[in-house]
Amino acid sequence: MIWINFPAYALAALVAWSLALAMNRLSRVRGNTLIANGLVGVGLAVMATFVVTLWLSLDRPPIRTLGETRLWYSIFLAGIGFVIYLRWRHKWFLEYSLGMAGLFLLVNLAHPETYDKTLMPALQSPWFVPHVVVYIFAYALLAGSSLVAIKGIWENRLGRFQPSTLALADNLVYVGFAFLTFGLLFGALWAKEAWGHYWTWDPKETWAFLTWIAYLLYIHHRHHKPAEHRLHLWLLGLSFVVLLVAWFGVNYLPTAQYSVHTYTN
Amino acid sequence: MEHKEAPMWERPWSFAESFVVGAGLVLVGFSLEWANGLARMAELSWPANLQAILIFAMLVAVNFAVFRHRPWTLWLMSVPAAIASIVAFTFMALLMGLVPQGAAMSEPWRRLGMDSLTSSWPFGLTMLYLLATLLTVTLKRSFPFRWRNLGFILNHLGLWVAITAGAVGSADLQRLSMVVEEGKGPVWYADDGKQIFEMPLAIELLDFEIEEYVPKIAFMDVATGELLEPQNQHLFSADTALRAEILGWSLRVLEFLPTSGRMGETFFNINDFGSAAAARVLARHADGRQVEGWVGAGNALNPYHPLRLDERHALLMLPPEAKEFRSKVSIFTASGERLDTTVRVNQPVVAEGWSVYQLSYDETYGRWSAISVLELVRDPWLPVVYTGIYMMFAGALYMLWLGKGMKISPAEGDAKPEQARQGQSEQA
Repeated sequence: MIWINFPAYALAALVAWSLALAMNRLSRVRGNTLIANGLVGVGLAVMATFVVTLWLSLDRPPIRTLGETRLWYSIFLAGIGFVIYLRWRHKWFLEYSLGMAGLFLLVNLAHPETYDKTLMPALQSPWFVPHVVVYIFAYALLAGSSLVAIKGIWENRLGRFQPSTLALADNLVYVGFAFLTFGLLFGALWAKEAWGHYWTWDPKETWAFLTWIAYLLYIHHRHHKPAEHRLHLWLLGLSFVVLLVAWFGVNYLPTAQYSVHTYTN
Repeated sequence: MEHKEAPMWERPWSFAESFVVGAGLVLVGFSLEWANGLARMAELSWPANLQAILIFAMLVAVNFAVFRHRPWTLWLMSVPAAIASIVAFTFMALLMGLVPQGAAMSEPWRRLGMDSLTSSWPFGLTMLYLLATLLTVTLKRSFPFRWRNLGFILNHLGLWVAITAGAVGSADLQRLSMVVEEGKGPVWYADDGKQIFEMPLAIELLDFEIEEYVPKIAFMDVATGELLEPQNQHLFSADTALRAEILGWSLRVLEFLPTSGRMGETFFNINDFGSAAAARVLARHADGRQVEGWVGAGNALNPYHPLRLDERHALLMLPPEAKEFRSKVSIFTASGERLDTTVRVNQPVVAEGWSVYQLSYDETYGRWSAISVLELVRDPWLPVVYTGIYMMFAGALYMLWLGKGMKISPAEGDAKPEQARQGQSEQA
C-alpha cells in the first residue's frame, strides 16, 4: 500500500546528498568538489527516477496529494540549490537547500501515503501538470529566497550583514514571482474549463492571491527603499509564511470546508 | 516612518498618509454597508458597468493629463500609495480567506456584509483605490513611451484590465444549473437557485455515462460506526492484485464484483439496475485468527454489507469514486439547429453564447444515475479578462527574461538612501 520502494529511493538520495555536503565542507581540493557535485547529481537522478516510476505505476501524474507535492518540492529545491551553487558558488545555499530537500523527504518517510490511483474528474485536465509543477517550482525558488532572508536576519543580528546577500534573494524572488504568476494564471484559465469561472475566491485561491501580493509588496518596497534591509528581510520571511498557508495551512482554516481544492477526502 | 521627518498630510504624502487613506476607505465602506439601503457595488449590470468603468478611467486619465505634476497625482503614482492600496485591498481579501463566504452568520456580521464581501462597499472602494494607483502609474510609464518600460506596462495594465473587467463583469455573469433526465425530452429552463430562466437553447439527455475506480475498503470502529482515519493508512483499494497490512491484519481481496446481487451472506455477479460493488476478502491476523467473507458497497437501493473482523473492527466498502462522467446530449438552438455532442468535466460545450458544463449527477445512485446536472455559463466580459491575463503572461515572461529587473546595485542602493526616500520625485 505504501509508495513503491520509496524508503529505498529516499535513503539513497539522502545518503548521496549527505556525503556530498560532508565532502564539500571538509575539503577544499578541487577533485573532491567534482565528486561532491556528482553525488548531488546522483541524488537528484535517484529522486527523478522515483517520480517517473511512481507516475507510471499510478497511471496519473503524482501531484495530487500533499505528500506528492512535497516530493516534487524536494527535487526542485535540491535542483535550484545546485544550479545556484554552480553559478554563484554560494556553498551555504547548497547546504541549506539540500538540507531542506532532505527534510521534506524525511517528512514523507515519516508519513507514508496510501497507494491511491484515484484522480477526480475535475483534475483530469491538460492544465493539471503545468499548473502544479509551475507552482511547486515557484515555491521552491521562493523557499530559497526565504533561506537567504533567514541568513540575512541572523547576520544582521550579529552586525555583519552584507547588502549583496539581498541581491541573491532578489534574483530568486524575481524568477519565483514570474513562476508564481504563471501558476496563478494557469489556475484561472483551468478553473474556467473545469468549474465555469476563472476566479471564485475559493479559500485556496484567496491564499494563493495573498501569497502573490506578499511578494508583490516585497518587490515594490525593495524598489522604493533599497536601503531598508531589515524590513526587506522580514518581509521575505513573512511572505514565505503566507506561502506555506496557501500550500497546506489553508486545509486547517475554518474556510477549508468550502474549498474545492481539498482533494484528499 | 515618514512622519518623524514631516508632519502628517504635509506634502509630499508618503506611507502614513497612504495607509490612512486605505484604512479610511475600509471604514467608510463598512459604514455604508451598515447603513444598508444603498445598492451594493457589484450590482451595476450592462451597460451601466461599462459606463461606470469608462467614467472612472477617463477621470484618472484626465487627472493625469491635466494635473500630472500636482501633489495628489504625484502621490497616486508613488510607491507608498501603491503599497497602501495593495495592502488595503489585500486586507479585504484576507478577510475573505478567513471568514467563510456565503455561510450563515449572526446579524451584526451579516449587516456588515461579512458573508458576501466580494459585493461589499469596503471591497469595492479599496479596489477603486488600487485601480486608481495602478492606472496612474501605468500612464506615467506610458507617456512618453519607452521600450524598456514595456514589461512594466504589460504587468500593470494587464492586472488593471483583468481586475476591472472581472469586477464590473461579475454583474453580467450568469451561472445557471439545468437538470436533465434520460428519456424525459429536452429541457429549456435553468435556474440560479433563486429564479428560473427560459433559455435560448434546449438540452435533451440521451445517455449519462460514468466510469468508476475500484472502490476502497475501510476499517470501521464497530462501537461508534466511524471510519478509522479514512485519509490515512486504514484504507485499501479492493484490487485483487494488492495486499494490505493494517492493524495487524493481512488483507487480500480474493474476488471483486463491480456490480453484484446478494443472496444470504454471499454475493454473485449481476448487472441489474441499482446493483452495487462487492468483494470477497481474506483477512489473517498475526495472532492466527482468520476471517473470510463478503463486503458490499451500498447505494440508494442497497444497504451496506460490512464484514466483521473482531469485536472492535469491521471492514466497510466505500462508494466507488468517479473516474469520468459524461452526458451525451442533443442541444437545440432557437435558430432551429441541432447539435449532438458529449459534455465532460473539463470539456464544456459552447452553444448560443452559453458554455455548457458537466457539473454533477445523482450521487446516491452513482453509476445508475439517470439524471445529469449541467451548468450553463454566460460571461460576456470573458474576452476582456483574458486580454488582461495574457498581458500579464507576457509581462511575467519579460520578467523572466530580464531576471532581476531592478538595476540598483547593492552599493548604489546603499549610497543614496536620501534620494530614495523622496519617493515622489523618484523617476524609475
